[in-house]
This record gives sequence, structure tokens and C-alpha cells, in this order.
Amino acid sequence: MKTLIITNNPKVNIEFSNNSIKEEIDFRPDAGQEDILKASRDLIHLGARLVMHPMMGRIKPHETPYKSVFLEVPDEPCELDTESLIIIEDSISETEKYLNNTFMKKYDDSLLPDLQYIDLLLLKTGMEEYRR
Amino acid sequence: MNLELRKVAIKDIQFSEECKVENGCLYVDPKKLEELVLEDSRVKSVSFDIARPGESVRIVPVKDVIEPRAKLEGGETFPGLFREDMQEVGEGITVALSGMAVTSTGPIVGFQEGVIDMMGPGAQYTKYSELCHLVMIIEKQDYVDQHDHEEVVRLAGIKVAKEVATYGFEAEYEAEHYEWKSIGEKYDEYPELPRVVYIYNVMAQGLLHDTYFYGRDAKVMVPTMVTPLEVMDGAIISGNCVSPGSKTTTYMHQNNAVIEELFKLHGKEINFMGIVVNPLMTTLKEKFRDRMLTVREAKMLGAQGAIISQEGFGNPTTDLMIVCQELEQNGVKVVIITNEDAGVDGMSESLPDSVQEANAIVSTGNSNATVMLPAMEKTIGNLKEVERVCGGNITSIQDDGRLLLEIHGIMGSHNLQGNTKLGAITL
Repeated sequence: MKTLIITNNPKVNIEFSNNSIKEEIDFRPDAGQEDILKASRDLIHLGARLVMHPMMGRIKPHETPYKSVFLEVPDEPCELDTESLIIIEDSISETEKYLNNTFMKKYDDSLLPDLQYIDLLLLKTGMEEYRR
Repeated sequence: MNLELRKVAIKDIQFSEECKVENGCLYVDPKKLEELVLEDSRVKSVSFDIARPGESVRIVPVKDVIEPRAKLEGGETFPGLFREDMQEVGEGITVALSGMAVTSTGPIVGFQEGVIDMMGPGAQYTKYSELCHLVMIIEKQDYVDQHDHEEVVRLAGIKVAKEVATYGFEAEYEAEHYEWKSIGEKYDEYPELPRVVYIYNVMAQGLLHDTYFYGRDAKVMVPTMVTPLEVMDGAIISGNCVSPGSKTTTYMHQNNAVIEELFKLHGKEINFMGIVVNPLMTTLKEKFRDRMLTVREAKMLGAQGAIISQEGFGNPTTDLMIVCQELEQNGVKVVIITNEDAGVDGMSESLPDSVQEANAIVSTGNSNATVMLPAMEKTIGNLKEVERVCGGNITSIQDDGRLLLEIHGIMGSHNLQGNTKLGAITL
């Protein structure tokens, strides 16, 4: 089994590709939040488990372009973890609701470094919790 | 445990060289407060302003709102923040300057602060508009990073609130007396009344998403039984800068509406048995462990009914629902308090997670409802930040100075302990 981060956040990529750490990183710079969540869902169907809730923090999908999902991935396809599947499906529909509905997008380029930083810190919080 | 809460009603604040409370007016010396805040070398500059109910004033971006409270007897308020040898609080005499708040402003990281209007339609959405605000505008030294910046502003706000509360030690007050007995005694006291426990969810997720319990980061705590009297004395403070409409400010912890209501009903309709503080963590394993511990502690308190208040958006709904489910499956009747995110038109699915057992929910309103706020004559802080606050966007500021804002940009508009003027009904 390995642990995997799927992310579109360049700061997460820099942080974790520069370290010789246990986590593998799947960096998709051009992916939207929904793409990251759906890629995670595909792995969950093959037996991966969510380590962190994918809607960490409380920043809403239209307030940031970034998404990082932290998963445990088995070496071989194995039984489906239904809890993870329910949570990822709920997260996808919640994200779609925000992005496709009438909600206004509300960040501009000047905010991106801060948004990357917050996403990174929330991810690191979860990773620390995971290892405790 | 016995607490006398002396409420000194404040109707006005004035700058003065003398620091005192007289005839309902708080006189403060801004120079003295500046010196106090500048004791922290990470602060580059600080200044103070005053906003009163009914004035054409907008405060933005607001980080925290704090009610000044200090101990006349029995330790110190906001324990564990400034000294390591803390004493348990909730005992003795506490002086509170009610009707006012120390309010910190200044962008921390990005966009996550809120708006308080002191008049007009925006004022109708928040109880903070009814308070006199001693506003602290704080700037950090250049070398201070985002993490420390949040801490600098948080500690400065508490320090000032603690200081000004002492000016009211000699003032006229109305006293409220609270008594908290052991679980066994409480059990025996009203055997005929249903035993109710309050599950107090607090954010514990990282920068801008934190809460502090006896000065310590809630991320390193497990669900814990606390007494309401400790909460009144500032055992829980906010490090939360996100979603102004729903974040629990320190003021809302100190004046927790669920606790107030449970005390009112205690001995009449219910037996208020206690509180379990449940930190809302990010990983699923912590969520599931915290569910187990929260439910167990509620059962140890003899819960037959429970109220759960929410904090946050997205993943905390999972905590809310799984705790509700487990309690209900253990025979405990649960009422949830949460806001909804149902879209600007109110037509979308409003919660990201749900369980069948969540069959009694009190809604504090739809955070996405949009309001147009008139221009104000004066802004304390920086109006341009509205574009970045939660609920605002780059088109929020109209040419004529009006503001188009989702109501979750207004501080406390749908407070999740129910200390709000909003609600929702099913049509």
C-alpha cells in the first residue's frame, strides 16, 4: 500500500517533490477541482481510501481553484471502501453545485499564492494527524 | 463551581487620558493600549478607532470580535494564553463589559474576513451592529509570516479586551449567578426532567481554521467535557478567520447562545447535564475517533437529548452528521444547528452531507442569499478588501459606493450557535 496526493496546487507539488517522503504525488497543474475529485473517485473504485476529507478547511469551491486529495492506495485492486465513496461523491456534487450554479467566482491572481499556502497547510495538518 | 458574572452595560466609548467606566461610557487611552499591543515586537503599528450603533460606519475586514472580560476574583480570563501556569476558570467573579466589543481588523491571509455595518440593512443581519466597537487596526512587521500574523492579531485582541475590562471593576453592574454541580448531583437534582447535553463543535484544521482551548491549539485535543462557566471565562477562543457569517468569534464563544438558552431551561424543561467540546479535524480517522469519544462522553453525562452546534463548511458537516447518527442510534434525541448553502436562489441542495437520523435541524439561514448594502460615510479598515472577503467578489463595490454581498460576508449573519436574526422555513 502507498499513500498518494492528487493535487493541482503547485505549492503542494514543490513541497512534496523536493522531499524524499513516503507520499507519491500526482500533480495535475491544469486540472480543475472536479477533475482532481473524479480522479480520486476512480481510484476509490479500485480500493483506495480517503485519508482526509476532500473538502478540508472551510473555503468554498468558488473561492479557490486548488484541490488536494490525500489517499491510501492498495498495491492490488481490492474491496471498495463505501465510506470513502460516499464522501467523495458528496464532495463532487457539492463542488459542482458551487462551480456550476449561480455562485460568483471570487479570487483573482493576486490571491493565488495565499490560496496555495492555505491548501498546503491544511493538507500538512491532515498528514500530521495521519502519522500520529 | 460558582461564577458571578458582573455585566457592566456599555453604551458609548470615548478616547480619553483617563481609563474608566462612568455612566455607561468606557473611557480609554489609545496610547496606553498601543503600548500594550506593541509589547509584542512582531507588531509594527497599531491604532484604534470607535464605531457606535447607528453611525454610518463600515468595519472591514474584521478578524475577531471579543467581549472584554476580566476576573475580579478567581484566576484570569482567557487562561493559558499569556502564562503557562494557568488556573481553571469558571469560579469567582468575572466582570464583563457588555454592549461592546474589541474588534480586530486587518487582512491576515488573503480574503477571509468579514464586514460589520453599524447602520442600514447590513446592520439588520448581525447582532454585532448593536455593539459599540473599540476597533484595533494592526499591522505586522514585514518578517512575520502568515501563521505568526494570525497569532499576533489574535493575542493582541485578547490582551486589549482583558485590559479594558479591568476599567469596569468599579462600575455599576448587574450580576448573574451561575452554579455548576457534579454530574451525580445534577442527576439527582431534577430526576423527572430530560437530561440534555450540548455537543460543541469547534474548527481544528490549520491556519485560519483553528480554535484554542485553554490557550492550546484544539488540533491537539480530543473531545473533552467542559463546564459552561469555563466557556464564559474565555477557556475557548477563536483562531478562525474563515466564513465571517458562520465563524464562531471569541464573542460568540463567550456569549454562546446555546449555553444561555440551556441555562434558561435548566430546572424547568430540561436538566442541562454538560458540554462536550468536539474538535473538527481533517482526517477521517480522527473524525471517527472523535465521534466515538464525543458520543461516549455524552452518554457518560447521561444524555437523553443533545444539541449539536456546527462550525465550518464542507467536511465539518460529516462530523455533524456522524455524531448525530451515532447519538440517535444510542437512543439520544438530537437537534442540529447549522446554516445552509443553498445557492443565491435558494434552490440547491443545502448541505454537503446528510443522514436519515438528522431529522431535527434548526437552520440559521442560507449563506448565499445576496444583499445590496448602501455606501457608508466612513470605513474603518479597507473597503477594497470587500472584493476578497468571503461573500464578496471583484464586482461587489458598485460605482455609487454600494456593496453587493452574499450574507455570509457579514460577520455573524448566520451564527451557528443560533445567535442570529436569521432563520429558514420550509415552503
